[in-house]
Amino acid sequence: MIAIERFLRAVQRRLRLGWLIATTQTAVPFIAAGALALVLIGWVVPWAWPEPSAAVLVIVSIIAMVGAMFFVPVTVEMAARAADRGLGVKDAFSASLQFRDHERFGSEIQARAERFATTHSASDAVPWTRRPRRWIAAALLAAIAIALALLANPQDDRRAEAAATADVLKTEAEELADTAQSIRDLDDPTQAELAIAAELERLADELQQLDDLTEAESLLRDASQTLAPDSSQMFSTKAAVQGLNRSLEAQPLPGASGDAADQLDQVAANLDDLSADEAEALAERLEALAATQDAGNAAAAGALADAATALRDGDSAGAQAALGEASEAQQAGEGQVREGQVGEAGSAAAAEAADRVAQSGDGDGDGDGDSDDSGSGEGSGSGSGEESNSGSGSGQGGGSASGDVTGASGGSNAVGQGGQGQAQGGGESTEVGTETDAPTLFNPGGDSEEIFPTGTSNGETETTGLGQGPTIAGGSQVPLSDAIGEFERQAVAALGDPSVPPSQRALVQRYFDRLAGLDS
Amino acid sequence: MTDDRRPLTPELYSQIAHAIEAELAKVIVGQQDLVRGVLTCLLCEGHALLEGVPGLGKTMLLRTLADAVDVEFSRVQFTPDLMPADIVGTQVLETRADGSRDFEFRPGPVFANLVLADEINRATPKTQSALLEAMQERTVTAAGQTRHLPRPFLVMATQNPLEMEGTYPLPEAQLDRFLLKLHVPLPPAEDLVQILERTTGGATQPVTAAANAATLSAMVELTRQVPVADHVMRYAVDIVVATHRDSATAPASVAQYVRFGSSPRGAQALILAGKATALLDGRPNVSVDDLTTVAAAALRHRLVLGYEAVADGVTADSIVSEVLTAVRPEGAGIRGAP
Repeated sequence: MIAIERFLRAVQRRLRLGWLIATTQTAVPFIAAGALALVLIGWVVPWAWPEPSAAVLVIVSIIAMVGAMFFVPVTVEMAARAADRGLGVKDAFSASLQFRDHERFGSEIQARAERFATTHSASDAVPWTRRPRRWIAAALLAAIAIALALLANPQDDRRAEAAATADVLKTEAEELADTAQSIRDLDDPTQAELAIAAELERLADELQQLDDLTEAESLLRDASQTLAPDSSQMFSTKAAVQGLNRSLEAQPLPGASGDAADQLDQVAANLDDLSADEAEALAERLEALAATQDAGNAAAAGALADAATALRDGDSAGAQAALGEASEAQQAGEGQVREGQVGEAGSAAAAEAADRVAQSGDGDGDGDGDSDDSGSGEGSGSGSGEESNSGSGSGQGGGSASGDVTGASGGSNAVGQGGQGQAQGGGESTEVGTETDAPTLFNPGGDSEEIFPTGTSNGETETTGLGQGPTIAGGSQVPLSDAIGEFERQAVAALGDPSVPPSQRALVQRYFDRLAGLDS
Repeated sequence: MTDDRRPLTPELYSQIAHAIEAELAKVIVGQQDLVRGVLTCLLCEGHALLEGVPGLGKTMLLRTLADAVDVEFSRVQFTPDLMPADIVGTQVLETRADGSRDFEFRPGPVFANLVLADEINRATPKTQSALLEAMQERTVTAAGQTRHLPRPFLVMATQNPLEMEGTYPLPEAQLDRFLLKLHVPLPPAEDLVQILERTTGGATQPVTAAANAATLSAMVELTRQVPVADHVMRYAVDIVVATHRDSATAPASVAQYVRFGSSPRGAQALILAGKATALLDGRPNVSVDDLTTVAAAALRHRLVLGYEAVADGVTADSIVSEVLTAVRPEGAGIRGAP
């Protein structure tokens, strides 16, 4: 009996291996054909996954079959029947399992089965059937698949390009996501700011779904346009809000400290403590401050004027209320400015991402610009833009960009500060991947901080030129306060001009931010 | 002659059977399948229906078998005027020594161990029924008294495939009572030469008894005790079921040519004959191979073929062969197993 059990266990193990061999022989031609089909797909389309998938298919199939072998049910009855048929012993083993305790024939049946169990091996009972044609077919298909996988694939270049594109877009998406996160991390972000962050995140997600740099660039530029705030309004509001803060910082209101809104609140609370002279002085101060707010923060201007009037009239309550309104208007203005700055940051982020995407694109790009239009050439290698006269051209391509410009180059469009002198820009253009005639902007502060123009091929920003006009050196005959308004008007007009690239607008914005710091 | 005191084992059973066959081979040339079939019927207590042209040694076979197993043999030549009493026996008025008279039952030829019913299809259905009833019941009722037939009891009926005009072919219900239907083919030339040498010469080999009635009875009893595994039983059932045209497992030829398939007696015949076959092979258990060996003999007379089969020359044997091809025994149930 023990011999029978031992024999049947061996047959069970043999059956499992036999199952694996039979299944493998059945499956290998199909697996090899599947792998070959995947490799052929990789030769036709530039997808990155076909060849690795072929390898995965083979490995997974082998693992699956080997793993399944251990779970295939192989009962001792199955082993007995297999042994009976394999050895041709006329159901000796099956009978031994069923009639172990048969009254009349039990011993004879067991003896017969034991005799076979001791004189035969499991390999005799379960011979493995070899199917060489299947193995040959599988080997041929596998060899062809391997050869095709190792040979140079016409899709490799396209895949590399697609991978590079994906990397670029992923990097830009991450940048946009970081920008969005920094917006969310602001102190008490408003709904508008959160919406901008959400838009940047959506843009980042959409960017990662794309596989074309041109399309990505277009998407980014559109988004940049969408996110850009109303510059003209924002600029004037910002100037007013920041101007008020600086004014009150330099010369605080009586008994007050902190930013403008806090000071106004503090003064409103302490109006009853003011003497008549102090009230009069305060009223004058408030009137002066109101005048500065007319252009940018009309609500604050009105409230400050009302407060001044109320003070003169001796209406403390009215003055208090008006000062409160002025404080709220100031805070509202600050909120608008911050929202605008957030939008600007988002727009700039999208624009910069678009620039980097454009510069990292492969292939030649040609751009034509006419007259005052901006010409932009897109593409790496050489982007060329042509323009004439004062048109600005920017080549957005890796490598060198060249443009033919007729007219003054360098600092011809440098905006001189200080007056009506001729701003002679003798800019030294050091373009790298940018058009030689990018407008140079005068650095009014003369400090070490540089004015950043459009991005270059490597995504870094670089000064395109420092135009040093003679106005500063020669001394202006026109007070800055008289010129600043005109400059401001022109700047606002430029900022509202959709033909001006967003990055240029951002440049102008920052320029006048700095100017705003000089008038207080 | 065997030693009846030895316990009957499968090996001894096989030895005795082979000894019987050896004795038969002294007289019967060739015809191993026929001999094995008749012996199988004897050991299963079944009856054999032989079909073959005259002169092929059918009578000789049974007579020699009777000598080889030391039992009584009788032969009945069926004719159209044969009466049932000619089969089972009759009451005869006897005068005793003292002058008194009484009826005495004179047993008919059926009261033998081995009965040859020659050309059974020539007798009337009434006479056929008398024999068939005796075959089934193993008793004879005459003059209100039931008399048991001897054991072992084998009827070997013959049918002449020629000269069917004016005969009474056995109906299917009666054919079903025969365990096996055996063909008696014309012997090959080499066997014919030997037959001529034996039958036209002077000396004949004597046949010695290799067994007796008691041994045969023990062998019959042992045959019944042979175990049959479940998958073998199922295989027998599957074969019989597949002979019916409405069965889902029936091959196309069954659906086309068979009017009626085998009755459950066919499955009984498969199992009984399978048991005998296993023991004749010295094995203590029935295998599926034993069933395939006896399938043709056990089923050919139980299939009712349609006219289309006759027209197309399809025989019952070919139908059985296709059934065996279509119905496979239960395997190991795993890919890669033999």
